[in-house]
Amino acid sequence: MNTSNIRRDFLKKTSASTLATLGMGSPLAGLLSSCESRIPSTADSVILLFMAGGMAHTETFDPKKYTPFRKGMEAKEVLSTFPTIPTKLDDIFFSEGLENIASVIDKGTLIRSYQAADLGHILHTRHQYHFHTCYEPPQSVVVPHLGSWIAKEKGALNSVIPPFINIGQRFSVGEGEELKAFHSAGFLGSEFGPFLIPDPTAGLDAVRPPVGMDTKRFESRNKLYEELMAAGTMNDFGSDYQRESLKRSMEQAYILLNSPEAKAFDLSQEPKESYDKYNNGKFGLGCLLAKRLVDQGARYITVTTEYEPFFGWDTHDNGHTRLKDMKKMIDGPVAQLIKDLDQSGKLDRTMVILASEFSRDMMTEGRPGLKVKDQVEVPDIIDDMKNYGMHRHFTDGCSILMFGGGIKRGYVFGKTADERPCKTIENPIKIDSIHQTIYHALGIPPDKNYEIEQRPFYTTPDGHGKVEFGLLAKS
Amino acid sequence: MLLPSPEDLQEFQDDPNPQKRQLIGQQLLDQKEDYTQHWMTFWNDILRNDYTGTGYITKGRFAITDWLYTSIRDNKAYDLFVKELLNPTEKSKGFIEGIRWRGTVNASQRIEMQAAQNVGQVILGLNLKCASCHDSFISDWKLEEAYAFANVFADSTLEISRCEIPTGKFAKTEILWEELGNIDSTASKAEKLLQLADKLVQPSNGRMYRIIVNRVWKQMMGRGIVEPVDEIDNLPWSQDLLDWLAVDFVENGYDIKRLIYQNTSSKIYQSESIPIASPDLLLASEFKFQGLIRRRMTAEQFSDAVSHLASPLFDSAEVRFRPCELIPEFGNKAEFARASLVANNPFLTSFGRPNREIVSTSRDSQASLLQALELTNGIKLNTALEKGGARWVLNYSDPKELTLKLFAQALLRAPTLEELEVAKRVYGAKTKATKTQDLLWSIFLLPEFQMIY
Repeated sequence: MNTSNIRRDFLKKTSASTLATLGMGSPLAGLLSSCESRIPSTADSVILLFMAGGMAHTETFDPKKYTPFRKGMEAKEVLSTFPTIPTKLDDIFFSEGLENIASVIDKGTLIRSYQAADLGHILHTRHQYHFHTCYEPPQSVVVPHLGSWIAKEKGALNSVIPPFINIGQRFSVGEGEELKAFHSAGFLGSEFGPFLIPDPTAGLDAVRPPVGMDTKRFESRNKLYEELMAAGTMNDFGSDYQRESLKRSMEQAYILLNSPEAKAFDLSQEPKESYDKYNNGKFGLGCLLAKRLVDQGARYITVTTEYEPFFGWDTHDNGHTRLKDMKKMIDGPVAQLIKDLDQSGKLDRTMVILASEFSRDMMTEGRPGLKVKDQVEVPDIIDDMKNYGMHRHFTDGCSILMFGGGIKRGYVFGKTADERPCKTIENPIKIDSIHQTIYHALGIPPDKNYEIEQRPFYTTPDGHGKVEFGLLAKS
Repeated sequence: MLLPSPEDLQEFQDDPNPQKRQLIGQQLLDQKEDYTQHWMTFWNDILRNDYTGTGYITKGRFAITDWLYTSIRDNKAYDLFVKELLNPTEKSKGFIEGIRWRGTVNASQRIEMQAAQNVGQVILGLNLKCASCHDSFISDWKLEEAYAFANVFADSTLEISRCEIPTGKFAKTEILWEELGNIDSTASKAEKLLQLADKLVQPSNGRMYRIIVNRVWKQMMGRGIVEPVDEIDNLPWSQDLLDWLAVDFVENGYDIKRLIYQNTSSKIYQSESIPIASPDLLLASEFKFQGLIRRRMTAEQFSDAVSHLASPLFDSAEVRFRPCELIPEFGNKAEFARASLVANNPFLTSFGRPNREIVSTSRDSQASLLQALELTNGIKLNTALEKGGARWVLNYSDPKELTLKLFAQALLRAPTLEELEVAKRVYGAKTKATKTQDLLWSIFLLPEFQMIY
């Protein structure tokens, strides 16, 4: 019998909530982190460069034996479809087409042993959900995005720049609804949700007066609003948090739209020479926008190559041909971003991560020993260029780059086998460790949790994510 | 509900009938389509219907919108409403069928367990989410009990998994309280669901009826008698009131409209609203209910008000559900698309409409910077305001007349002298579309406009 047992401990909740929450229905800080230890932070800001769609490690940052295309070749003999190139690090090679990133890899750490989760039937957005939230979908509560946790725990670095900015993803594409599911602050409250800039060249639109309204009119409209506020009778009604929060948020929006920082969203303000270095498309300009925003005190930014089924890194065919373009898209801007941040000194306190939801292979779908349904037909004998490339989804060995914000310089972590299936054989690292290491660098304790529907909900599942100290420079 | 016209308001104010508040309450409930479209939001959130994410790609998800609309419109008795959700037809099966995800999912998210959790939360006011993985740490619910309940929704007997590891034990088939009766564990799924439906809706299951009267009370008054509304075992601020409402509900035909009428015609509903200084106070154990809680409009209410006063926010391409295609006698065409019928979009999301991937029984109503930016320079609102400004100016060229009319329609009162002065200064001698657009914006963002009080 369970009729009378659950009595909520209101006292416990109210005492905790005065510290931690503002909104009704918003979470209450868990007791477990009430005596949290102070972690000295090594990072203030985070930029995640997301290679949406599945970036093959063997075609990018962990190349294997190169087999040039020839008609009648056996599919199973192909490990990499590009020759290798040297990098700034001795004995470390990248795949051709990434020369610029190769020249800056000494400023960061190359992880070659990331293992994505096994979620059965591969669906990009489910793995992306897992990558960005650290929780396997589906969950019985709405789980916050990495950026929302950081926004909640660290707040805005500059009060007029939204603490969680997402650049480059439209939600009108295929699986758009699934993308929305994890671009959410979930139980942390919509205040900590992403500020969306689908098109970086239109970044300014997000922070300027509405279309067709000049600055003068914008200001007079705001004045009108303030006068009506003052003239109305509502102020006599006593204090009310809903009213106060509305007033405050409107003021904040007005300040942002009028602030010098708003110019950071405007790429046309960037000197031409610098603009041109990034300008090879939407992703490159997203990197530029991220740089400008971090300079002004952004807290967390994702720049994505954009997920759209069967586009971008989602190569179900013509893998080799398409990867040439993808590399062209990322190589210059990513390297430039690292260089610029390094030069300005910002890299010391800004962590930049380049990652994908999983890798790809020509033969193996899922991982060895846990094969899942093939998404792509691969002929045994390749006669056509369109079959030459990594078209299946591979989870057991992916590359991640990390730079700055306390990450070691010039370091390689983990290793994959040189023979198929080219899987992780040294220092496997999983998503909860990646997240926990990011949180650690920001000074967020590993046991950070909120009480959601009476149970603790941690930044990583059950708070079990371990900081990977091997990635961090000794401070 | 929609804003009354100044004429209706005047008529109401002039009406000497002491019963006029009861009368207007009844009249509003009698406006079938408006009533239904207003309450669709509440039920869509709770039943996680009108959801667009994962599941639809692979036919792993079923909408119940037709059934829901008809049920609300017909004011279906609540016991029957629940019965049709639990022992469903093709039209109402979406709730217990849940979302069939592609790929591997946690054992605690298999569809039978989703059904157990959601029926538990929505219909029975208890949290089985913990116990569907291991014995709960926060209540006495055991893993085996959660599985026994989930088994009611299963085609074949479920094997119990503890924290994702199969135990080799098979679940029994039981309702959570033995007092409600037994389910035949050997019966087919259809028979089990029929038995479950009959057992749960029996009048002696006072729990189920306390939950619904509490949910409606919260909706009307801004704060439940018990909070959170999904945890009915928590202490109510008035056990007597909760018990009385539930018993009265059962004794009078499980009539939701009657319940709402009871709320609106109550003295407390008609008394002055109460401001809350901080959200903590609202959920505090020492909370004393003193009247209707002042709160913000929902995304849907705000959108409808803007559509009505300025210009429709949503075009017909955004409408997802068209009741006129369902209801043969559906009368005159609506003046604009009600927000409850359009597909979710960033505007509605920024005002707290959930994506409905999970059951959602409480809206996030806090204002935020992201929302304020949407209001300040968002295309959707701005476009509606631009058209609205032009429309108002077409009708009124005299600044004072326009101001008076706008205040009457938007704020249901005359402007103060000070407010008239402000408007006069803005306009000068003649109304202008751009100025009116800005005036509309300013009024829509006043706390007075945004709040239910």
